[in-house]
Amino acid sequence: MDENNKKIGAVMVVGGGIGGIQASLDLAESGFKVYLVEKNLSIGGVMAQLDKTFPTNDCSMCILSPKLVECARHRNIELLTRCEVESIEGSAGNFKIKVKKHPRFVDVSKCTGCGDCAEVCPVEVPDEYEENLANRKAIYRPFPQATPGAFGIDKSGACCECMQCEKACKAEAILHNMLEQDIELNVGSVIVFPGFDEFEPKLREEYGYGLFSNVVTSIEFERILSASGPFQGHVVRCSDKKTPKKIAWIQCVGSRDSKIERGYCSSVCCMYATKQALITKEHSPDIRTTIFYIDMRAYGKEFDRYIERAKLEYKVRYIRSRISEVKEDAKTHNLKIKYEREDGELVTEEFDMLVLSVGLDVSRSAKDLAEKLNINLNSYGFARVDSLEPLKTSRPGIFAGGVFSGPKDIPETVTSASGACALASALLSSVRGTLVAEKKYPAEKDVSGDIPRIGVFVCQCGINIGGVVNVPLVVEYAKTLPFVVYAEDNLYTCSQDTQDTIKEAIAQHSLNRVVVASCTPRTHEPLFQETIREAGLNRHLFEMANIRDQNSWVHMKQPREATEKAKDLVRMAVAKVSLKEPLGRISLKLTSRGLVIGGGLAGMVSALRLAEEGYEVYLVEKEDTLGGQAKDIYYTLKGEDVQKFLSKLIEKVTSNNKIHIFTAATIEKIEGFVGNFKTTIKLNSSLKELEHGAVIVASGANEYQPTEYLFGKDKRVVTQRKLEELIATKKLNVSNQSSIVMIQCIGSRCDENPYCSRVCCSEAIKNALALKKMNKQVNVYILYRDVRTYGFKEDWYQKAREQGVLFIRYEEDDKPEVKLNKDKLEVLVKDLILEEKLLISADLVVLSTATVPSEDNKELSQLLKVPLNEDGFFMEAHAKLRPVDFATDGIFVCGLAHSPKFIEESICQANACAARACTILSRDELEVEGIVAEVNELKCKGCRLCKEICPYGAIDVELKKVLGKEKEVARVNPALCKGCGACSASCRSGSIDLKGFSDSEILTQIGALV
Amino acid sequence: MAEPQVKIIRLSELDLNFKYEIQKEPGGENITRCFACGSCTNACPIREIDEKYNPRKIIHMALLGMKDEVFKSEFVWLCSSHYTCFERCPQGVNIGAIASAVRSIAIKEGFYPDPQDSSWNEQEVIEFDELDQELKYKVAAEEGGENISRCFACGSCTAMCPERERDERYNPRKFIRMIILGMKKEVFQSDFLWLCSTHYRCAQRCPQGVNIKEIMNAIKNIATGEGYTSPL
Repeated sequence: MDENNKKIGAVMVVGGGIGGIQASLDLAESGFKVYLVEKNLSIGGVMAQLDKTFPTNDCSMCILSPKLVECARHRNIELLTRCEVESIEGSAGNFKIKVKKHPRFVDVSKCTGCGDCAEVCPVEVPDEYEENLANRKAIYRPFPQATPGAFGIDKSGACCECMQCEKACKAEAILHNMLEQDIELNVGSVIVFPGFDEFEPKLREEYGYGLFSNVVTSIEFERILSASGPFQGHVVRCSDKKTPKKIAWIQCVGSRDSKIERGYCSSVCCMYATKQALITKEHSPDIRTTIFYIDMRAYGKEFDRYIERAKLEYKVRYIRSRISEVKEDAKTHNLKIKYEREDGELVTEEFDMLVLSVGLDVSRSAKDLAEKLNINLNSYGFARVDSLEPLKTSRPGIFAGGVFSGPKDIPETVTSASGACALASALLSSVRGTLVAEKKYPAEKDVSGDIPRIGVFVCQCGINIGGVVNVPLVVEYAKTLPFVVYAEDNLYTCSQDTQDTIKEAIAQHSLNRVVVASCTPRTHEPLFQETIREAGLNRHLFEMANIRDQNSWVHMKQPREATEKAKDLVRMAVAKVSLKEPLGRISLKLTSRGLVIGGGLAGMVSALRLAEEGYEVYLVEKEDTLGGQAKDIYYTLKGEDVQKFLSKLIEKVTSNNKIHIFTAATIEKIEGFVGNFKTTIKLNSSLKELEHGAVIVASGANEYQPTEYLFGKDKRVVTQRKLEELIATKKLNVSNQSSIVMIQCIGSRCDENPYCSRVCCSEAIKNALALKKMNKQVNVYILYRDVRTYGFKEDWYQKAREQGVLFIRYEEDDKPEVKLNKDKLEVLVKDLILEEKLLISADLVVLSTATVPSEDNKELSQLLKVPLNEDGFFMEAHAKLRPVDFATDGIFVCGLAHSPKFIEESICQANACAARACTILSRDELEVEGIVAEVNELKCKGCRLCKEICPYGAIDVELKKVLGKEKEVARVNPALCKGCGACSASCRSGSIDLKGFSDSEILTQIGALV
Repeated sequence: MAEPQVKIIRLSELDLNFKYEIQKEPGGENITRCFACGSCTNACPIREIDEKYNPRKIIHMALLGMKDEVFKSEFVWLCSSHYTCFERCPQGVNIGAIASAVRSIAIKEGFYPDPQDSSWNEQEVIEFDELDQELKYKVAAEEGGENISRCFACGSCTAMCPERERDERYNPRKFIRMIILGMKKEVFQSDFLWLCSTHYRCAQRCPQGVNIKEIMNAIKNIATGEGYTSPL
């Protein structure tokens, strides 16, 4: 590389939705400067508008907002809101990018987010964030947790320039004459996540959207469900604001519809409609919910289980019928739809409200952006990517993911974001750390011996808390408690501007301890702890009172009692915090090497990427050769040659001198913790110890071995993989008369394995098309339960039908039968449209077999101390936002070990694991949390109960001289201790205390209640 | 195994090439795209009164190769090809054209429906010879009547007519259909012609730009010219 094209240690991320946020955080944590470019006033994207997320029903904003704050306060991330990319020059490693910064008319550095300006603004316009179901002012903040928290003025026709806001603003932050700015930035790589816009339902006008007031889109319904939404979370219809008795969802509005250039499946609607129906039931159990669909596409991890729950537990009604038009009763504004029931009867049913499950259109800004960045799009206007290089755009150095490269849900967007980071980080590994700043904290104030001075901050959480609990009353009460010198209430204590308020209060009132009464410490404690640390207080001089999840949410109907309970909880927290002492963090050295378990495709991609990012890797494979399940896959749906890719990958991995490969090796023991693992492997009956800082689990899965349908008894019954091999190795002849019957869901979606194996529908279609390529007239039948060709795979489903492949649906309780009639193979299946049985003579019966978890998973999960889910696959830390992490730091998961998936998805996850591991390996040292167990050696009897109980192996018992007497005492390794408290609870002599949760603190807390 | 009372369709006895034959006919190209979502059947206005109108089932039978049954089905012979099904189909399966394709294959192969055998000619029949084929041209010649022949009977107008909710006589689609067919006397004597308040919503929603408001005026002009007055 010559001097003019020096690599730059900075990356631009375009798009501030959850994908762009994750990419920015991963890169910033791996030593790169990040410019996060967002066209709107705030980052957050569509996820900020959602009420809950499937399949865990987590509150969307609650899991997103800590990430927003983290982004805003990260020293390596520069937020460029109201910005758009104008042009790009240069090449991979060194791009010069012009960015246009549209005026916000408010100085972000001065605005405190107090909202006085909006209070006086006389102009009201429809609020986009509320999907136009409510109004906002011309000067506004899109939502309370918006990041940055500053307001902005809408001058595209809304602002009347009356200057009232300028007069009202005490911070003098309003600049009505702010001008557009051009910014030039120099970066080494670009990551593009422009996201999506929802389909405009007026394009399918027969559904009456915009005409009938009680027909809403699914995203509008998210706002209706949201507690902070236009109707405060009450499910009401728009015409009369009354609670509807019957709501129906219409699926595939703007999806699977080639008539309106949206032939693809939007991948997420079946699940979000189910979620909405389920949450509706939780809001008002009397509302009857119905979902009209074509195929139920619950292809993801835990999805089918979620649908079953909706059906059985919540009585959501599912009807397989695509609705073709909607009529309105002009008097009642009820909606009438006509559909054919599965028994063939045509019925007209009336609903009070209809939700259109609108599909995902690629972001309307994508076309323009792609032109400016000079990257290629596919026929639908999404980024064109290859199945085997799913994160690379057509231009080197520019990576893409999220919905931009195809409809996908949140975890897959987050995965692709981390994955794209791995590629950018590999490209720029030589300049890692060159443009970043160290985070500097003020020195910690010594508060030992000082009388506690406690500040209490009570959160309204919009109306989540404030709508039930009388928050001002709680604040007044808090002021009367011992040691409390300051108390206030906040609309959202977690918002960006409140963090500054807290810091100011600490300084102004010389606070030395802080209590926040809000939601759960699970999501928000680190945020507040960081805030008080920035104000010079030790992180542990802090306590949270959970007055939302454990109070306002459960006592919604008893506001008076809830207010009393909030007072109790605050009093308890205040009592506890007054006893709290500062706890130190421990800094540890780390080993900058990775261990990858499993030498299949995912494992190899992870290992290669980590090596390219500059770290040594141990790659351990139990078989004699690398390749895993991919050895049996010859081509992808799009036609890419998998074997060629695989052999190239093996060559790259074996020739990379940073990767140390151990084949025919098994894992015997894994000790240690993040940054400092010691793994013993068995290799040719000898043991070898490996030291490393992170672990990537890529141990794969197996193909289900069928026992049904004469498999193993008649050689004409084969698995889908065997068929693929026969086709690829040209060992199969098909004639015009050949009849090939494929049966789906063998070993999937059954009692034994209740999950969907995700790939089988597309694999069957892939091979059916290959057969059709051999002979156009060959008869191929696919017997299915739901065709789950999500995303652009739907195009191939259409192609297969176009070429005459016949799809026949069957029900789980009326499975097809395969029998021998003399030596003829016959398949009998009930046709559900004709209500008659079909008898098909078959030359070949092909079973689409499940992907089942590896039998080694159990042992490996115990060695790693990480969990498996009910189905036996590894369970990630969080289904939505930590899709490749384990709850245990430093351990990650990708590929089939996580769940069944396609090659491109495995590759994305493998890259994501490399990026996540890099956030650890790139550090100089690790800081370990100070909440650890501590043994009082005087009291300890050395009974060893704690050692047996500790799930992390953090306790040893040793012989020690205590007060001149030698005795056995327990010793805690603070680096291994997770602070779970199991030892403390079990100790019979009461000699173990958990720092920050000591007996005296807990007892005082309880004492304050009783 | 199968219970004896359930009919078993043996695919080996069916014509597996039937779907390809239909594909070759104009308009039949997309038949195999069908994924049986049911939009067509849900949209078919005739299905409501006659369950033999079941496009999804017929398409499925054709795909399976049940040629005889399809030929003998009343649907393919009775379907008036008014395309609501096609309009609603997300996969572009042109059912009206397919019905006509099937008819032409059937006739080529010497199959004709036996009128004795079906219930269709028991119903009232409108004799084309008795109608005024010129009527639609007369209307087209009037100002605002130009687009009348564009009507593809999608029903948007009727669906949209606010009066229709309370009074069945308000049926613009039927009315336009009668004009196109030339049912002059029935048109002139219809209550709708003289009741319609021509407030334009039908015309606004018409995807084909049929200006029903102007057509009403045009018809009233012609009717008055020929000496007709309101029957009301």
